Amino acid sequence: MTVKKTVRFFLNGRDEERAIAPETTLLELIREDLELTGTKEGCGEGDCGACTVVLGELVGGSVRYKSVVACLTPAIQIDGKHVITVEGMAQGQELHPIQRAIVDAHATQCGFCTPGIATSLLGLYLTKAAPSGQEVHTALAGNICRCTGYASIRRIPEFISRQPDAPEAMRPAYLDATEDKLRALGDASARDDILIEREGQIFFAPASVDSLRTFVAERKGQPIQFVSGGSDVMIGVKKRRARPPCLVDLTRLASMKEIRDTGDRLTFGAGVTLVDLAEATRASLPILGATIAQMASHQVRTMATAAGNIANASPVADAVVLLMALDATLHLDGPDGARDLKLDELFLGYKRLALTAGEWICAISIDKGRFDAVDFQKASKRQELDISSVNSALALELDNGGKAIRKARLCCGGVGPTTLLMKKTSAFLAGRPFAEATFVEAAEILATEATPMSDVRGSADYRRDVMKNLLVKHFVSLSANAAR
Amino acid sequence: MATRKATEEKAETRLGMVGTSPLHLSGRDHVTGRSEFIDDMPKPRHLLTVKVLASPVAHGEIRRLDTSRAEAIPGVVRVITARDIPGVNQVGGIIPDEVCLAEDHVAFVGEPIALVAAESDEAARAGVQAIEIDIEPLKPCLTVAEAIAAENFLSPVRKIERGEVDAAMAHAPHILEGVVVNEGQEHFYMETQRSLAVPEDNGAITIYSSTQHPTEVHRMVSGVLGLPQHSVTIDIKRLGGGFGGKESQATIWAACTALAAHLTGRPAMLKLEREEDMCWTGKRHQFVSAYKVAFDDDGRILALHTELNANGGAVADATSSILERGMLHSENAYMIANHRVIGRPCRTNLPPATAFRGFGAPQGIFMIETVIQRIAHALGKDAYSVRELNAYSEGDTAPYGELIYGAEHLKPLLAELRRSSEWDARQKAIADFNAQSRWQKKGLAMVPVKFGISFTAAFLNQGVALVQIYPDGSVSVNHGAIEMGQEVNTKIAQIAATNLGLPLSAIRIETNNTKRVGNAPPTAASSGCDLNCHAVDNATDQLVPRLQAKAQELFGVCPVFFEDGVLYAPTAEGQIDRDRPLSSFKDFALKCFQGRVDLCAHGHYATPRVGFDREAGQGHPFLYYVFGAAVAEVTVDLLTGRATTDRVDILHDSGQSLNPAVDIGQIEGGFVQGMGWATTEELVYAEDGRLLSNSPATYKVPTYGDVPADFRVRLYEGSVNEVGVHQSKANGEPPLVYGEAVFFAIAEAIQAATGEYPVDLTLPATPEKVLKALKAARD
Repeated sequence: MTVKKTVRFFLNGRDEERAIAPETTLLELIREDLELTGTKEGCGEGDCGACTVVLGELVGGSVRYKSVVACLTPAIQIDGKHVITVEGMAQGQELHPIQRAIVDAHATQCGFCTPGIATSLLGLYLTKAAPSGQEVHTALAGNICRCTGYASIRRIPEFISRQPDAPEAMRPAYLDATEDKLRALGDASARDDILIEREGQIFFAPASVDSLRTFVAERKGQPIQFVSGGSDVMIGVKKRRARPPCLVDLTRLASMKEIRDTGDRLTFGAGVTLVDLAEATRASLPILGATIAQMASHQVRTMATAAGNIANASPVADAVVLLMALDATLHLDGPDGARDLKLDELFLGYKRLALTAGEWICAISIDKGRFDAVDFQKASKRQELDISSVNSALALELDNGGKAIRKARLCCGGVGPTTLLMKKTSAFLAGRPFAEATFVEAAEILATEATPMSDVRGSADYRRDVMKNLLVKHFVSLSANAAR
Repeated sequence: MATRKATEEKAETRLGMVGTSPLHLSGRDHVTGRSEFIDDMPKPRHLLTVKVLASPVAHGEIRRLDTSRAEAIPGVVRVITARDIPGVNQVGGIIPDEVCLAEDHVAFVGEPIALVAAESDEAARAGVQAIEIDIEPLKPCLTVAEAIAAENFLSPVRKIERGEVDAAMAHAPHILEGVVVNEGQEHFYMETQRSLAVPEDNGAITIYSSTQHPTEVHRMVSGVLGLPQHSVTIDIKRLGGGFGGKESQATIWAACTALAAHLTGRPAMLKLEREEDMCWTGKRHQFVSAYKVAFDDDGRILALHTELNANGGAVADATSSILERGMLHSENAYMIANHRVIGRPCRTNLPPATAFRGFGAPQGIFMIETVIQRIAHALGKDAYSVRELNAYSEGDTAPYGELIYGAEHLKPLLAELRRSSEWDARQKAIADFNAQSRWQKKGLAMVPVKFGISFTAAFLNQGVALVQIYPDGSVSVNHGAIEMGQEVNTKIAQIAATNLGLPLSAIRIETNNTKRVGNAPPTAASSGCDLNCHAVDNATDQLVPRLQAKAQELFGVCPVFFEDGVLYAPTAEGQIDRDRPLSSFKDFALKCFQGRVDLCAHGHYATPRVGFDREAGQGHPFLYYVFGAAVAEVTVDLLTGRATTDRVDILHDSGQSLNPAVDIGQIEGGFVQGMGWATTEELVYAEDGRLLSNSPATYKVPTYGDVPADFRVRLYEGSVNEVGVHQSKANGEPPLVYGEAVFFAIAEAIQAATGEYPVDLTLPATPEKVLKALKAARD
C-alpha cells in the first residue's frame, strides 16, 4: 500500500484534491482553502451547528448521507467522500425545496444559523423522504438559532410538503454522477494510507489494520493520539491549542465498523458511530439508542463513537456510565498484542487510563441477555445538547417475575474523578424487593459512596442530591416501563 | 390620520405593501449562504489579523508591560499598547470612563491591554503569548452588596416617587417584604464581535463593524485615532444577531481594529473567538431588588417601595439608562397610587454590563410580578384577579407622571387571553394533575407587559434617511437602522414601496454607511423601525409632491395616482381609474430626470413630545406603550428539578402591524430568549470574577426541543397607534418579558409540591436551583 499526502474528495459534485495541515478542520478547508463562506463558524466546538455540512460516503456499495459539524471534523477524514455545503443546494437561481421552505416559513432572521439549518435538513431529507416530527426535531436539536425561537423553523417541513416537486428536487442534480464516482473510488480500504506531516506534527490515516499495526510498532513507546469522530480530540486541538505530535485516524478501518449480534452477545467495533450503534440495536437493546439520543447532537453523533467517549475518559460521559453498568468488555490491540479489559477496570483516575502507549480499542462487547432491566438517567441544565451534571445507569437481574432484585450494577458519572461502579449500593440492592422503599434506602447508601466536587455544571450538594434522586428515578422509570 | 379598518383593507392590499407579510428581503441570500457577514467579505490584500491581550484578572495594577519578545516573533507586524494611541484613549459613549487600552490599571477580566497585529492567526496568538506582563492583583468587588456598602456607583442614585408611600404603608391591612434577584444573560449572538478596518486615501479609514451603533463607533474611532469624523467611515451590511450586545460593546473592538490598521497602514481584522466574546464582553444586568408592598384584602396595591440595584460592572456603559428603564417599568401594568422606586447603579469588577433586549425593563417587571404573585398567594386569590384588579385603565398615569396612552386596551387584552388560554379550566386541570402526580408537578402563570417606547435619553429619538429615485424607476433607500434579523429592511422597503406606489422589487435597501446616513441613533430600544420609517416617510413626503407636480404637468390630470409601478388617471369622482394607465413609473422617472426634477430626498424625524427629567423623576419618557400578556404552563420533574414548558399563549399588541409575519417572529423569538434567561441560561463566575460558563458547552441557550410543544402567538386586534408608523407599534423588546411567565409557572409547580410560598428561587430557575428550593421547603 502506498502513502499519499493529500486528500481527494468531492465538493458539491466537483472533484477536489488538496494538501492540508495535520490540524486542519473541514470548516477551515471549506472557508479558507475553498473560499466557500456560506458555512459559518458560531462556536468552533460543535455546540451550535452553524457549520453543519452533509457528507456522502460509500457504505456497503451504496452512498449514505449524514450531517456533520465541520468545525470538529478533521479534514483528513473527508478523503473519498462527498462534501455538500449550502452552496451545493440551489441549482442556479432555483432554490432547493428546503431553502424555498425556509424562506416561505419566515424561518430566517439574522441568517447566520440559516445555512446550518438548511444543511441539517438536507442530511435528513436525503435519508428520509417524509421524516416524522421527531426525526426533524432530532436533526435540528444541534442547530442553535438565537433569533426565531424555533417556532418558524418547526414549520419548515410543512412548507416542504406544500411543494409538489419537492421529492424529485430534493437530490441535487449532480448527486447521481458523484455517487458513481464514489463507487468507482471504492471504500477506504481500497485506497492509500494518508500521511500528513508539518512542523513536527504527524496525522496518519491508515486504510488497513495492517498499516496501523506497522505504524504503531515503529513508534513503540511513543504517545499516539487516536482519533475517531474527533469531537473531543479536535476541541483539544482547536480550542485548548493542544498539539499532539502524532495523531492516528481510525475511521477508515472496515473491521472496526462491524457490529455482531449473536443473540447473547453484542460486539461492536470502535469505529461504529453513535448513530449507527443506536440504529443497529434499536430492537435488540433499545436502552443504547435511548441513551445515545441524549448525547451531544445528531451532527456530532454521526461522527462520534462510543469508543471515543470511553477513551476521552470524561467522568460525565453518558455512553460510559451505561456500558459500565452493562459490564462491557473492551477488546484492545497494540504494540504488545491483543487483550481484553473490563470497562470498569479501565479508569485509573481523572483522565488516566489503563492503556499502554499506542494501545487502541478495537471493539466493545456486552452480554446482552444478562440483565432483565436497564435504565439510564441524566441530570443536565438543558434537555438536549448538554453534558451531564450527573448521570446514572442501573442494570438489574430480576427474580420472581420482576418482583425481586437478584443482582444489580449501578454506575454514576459526575460524582468523582471517573465514572464509578457503585459497589456498596449495587450489593445492597441485590436480594431485595424491587420496590420504592428499597431504592429510597439505597439512595442513602449511595450518598456515602461518592464525594462529588463543585464545578460549572453543578455544586457538590446538588450532585449528591441528584445522584440519589436519579437512583429513585431509575425505579420510577423501570416500574413505569414494567406497567406498560 | 384617519383610523384604518386594517383587517378588511389588508385583505385586498398587494403583497409587499404595509400590513402584508412579504418574504424576508435577504431570505434568498440567507438560505443559499450568499448573505455576506464581515468575515465572509473578500479579504483585502495584505490583511493583518489582530489578537488581543486582555486582562486575566478582575482588578489589578499593571506593574510591567514588555512587548519586545512579542515584536520579535516572526509574522508579528506591530504590538500596540495605550502609549501608541494617537488620539484620546477613550471609548465610553455615554459617560467617558472607559479606556480603549488599559494604561496602568485593569478593572475587569477581558479589559484590553495590548493588541498584536500579525500576518496570520498563529503569529498573532503567539505574539499575545509572548507579551510579558506583571499585574498586581487587587481584591475585586463583584457583588451589588459590596458596591452599595462602599457607595461605589457608576452614576447618581436616582428616585421616582409619587403619592404618600410611607403614610399609606402605616395604615395598610397587609404588608409584605422581600428581595428579588435576577442574574444576567449572555447575548449569544451567533456572529461574535468583529470588525475589519481598511486604510483609505489621505489618511482616512473605513471600518466594517458588527455594531448596532455606527454613530458611536464613528465618534469613538475618530477620537482614538485623532482623526476628524469626515476621515472615518463606518459601513455595515448586517449583523449576525445583536440583541443589545453590539450597541455599545462593538465600539471597543472597532477601535482596536482601527488602531491596528491606522498604525500599520494595512487592512486589519479582529474577530473574537466565542470564548473570548463570552468572557470579555458585558451581559444583561443582574438586579438585586428589595420591595415592601402594602395591599388591601382584595389584593389592591396601596403602596409600593422598591429599590433596584443593578450590577453594572466596571464602567458606566449604558447602565444609567438601563437602570432608568428598569425604574420606569417597576410598576409594569399596574396603577399604583403610592409608589417609590430607588435605583442604584453599582460599580463592580465584572465586564461592563450592557444593553440586552428589554434594557432593564425585564428586571423591573420581574420585581413587580414577583410582588403580584406573592400577594395572590398571601390572600389565597387567583393571580389573574389580582392582576386585573390593579391593571391600568384609561386615563391612568404612570408614577413618573405620563399618561398611559392606550391603557384602555389592557384589561380587554387580559380578559381575552384569559379566555383564549382557557386559564380557569386549566387551573382546575392542573390542580387535579398535581393531586394525583407524585414525581411531577405542574404550574401555570400569567405575565402582562406594558412597555414604553422611545429612548429615555430624548436626543436619541431621531431617525435619518436618504432616498434616491433613479431614471429607470428603481429606488435606493438609505436609513439609520441596522439590519440584524429583525427585518427592519423589509419593513422600511414596505414603507417606501407603499408611499411611492411601487412594487417591493423597485426598492433596494443599502448598507448602513455613515457617509450616506450619519448621526443616527443606535438601533435599539425597539425603535429602529419606528424612527427610521418615519424618516423615510419624511423623505417620500418631499418626493411625492415633486413627482405629483411633474406628473400633472406631463399628463394634464389631477391628481395622478401611483400604484404598483404604474401612474393612473383619476375618475370623475377623484378615485383611481385603473382603466386609464398614464405611464409606467420607469418611463416617468426618466422624464423627471430629463425634466431636472430633484429625485433625491433626505428625511429626518424627531419624536415629538418626549422628554424626561431624571433628577425630578418626572416627565414624558415615552411616545406610546406596547401591551401584551403571556400564559405559560410547565411541568417540573421533582427528582431532577428540570422544567418542561408545555404550553404558552401570547396575545400581543402590535398596533396595526406593518408586517404580521415579522412581528410574530419577533414575539416568538423574544419569548424563547426570555424563557432561556428565566430557565437554563446561567452565568457562573469564579470567586475571582472569571466567567466559568464561557462557552455553549456550559452556557445553555434554548434549543429546538425547549420550545413549548403547544405555542400559540396571536396579535391583538383593535389597537390603533395614532403616533406610530402607519399606526403600528414597535416589537423588538417587549416579548422578551413573556419568558418570565415560565419562571413564575415553575415557582407555582414548586409551591404545588411543597405547599409553601414564597419559593426560595432566583432567576434563572435552573434544575439545580429548583431542586434546592424543593429541598429547602422539605427541611
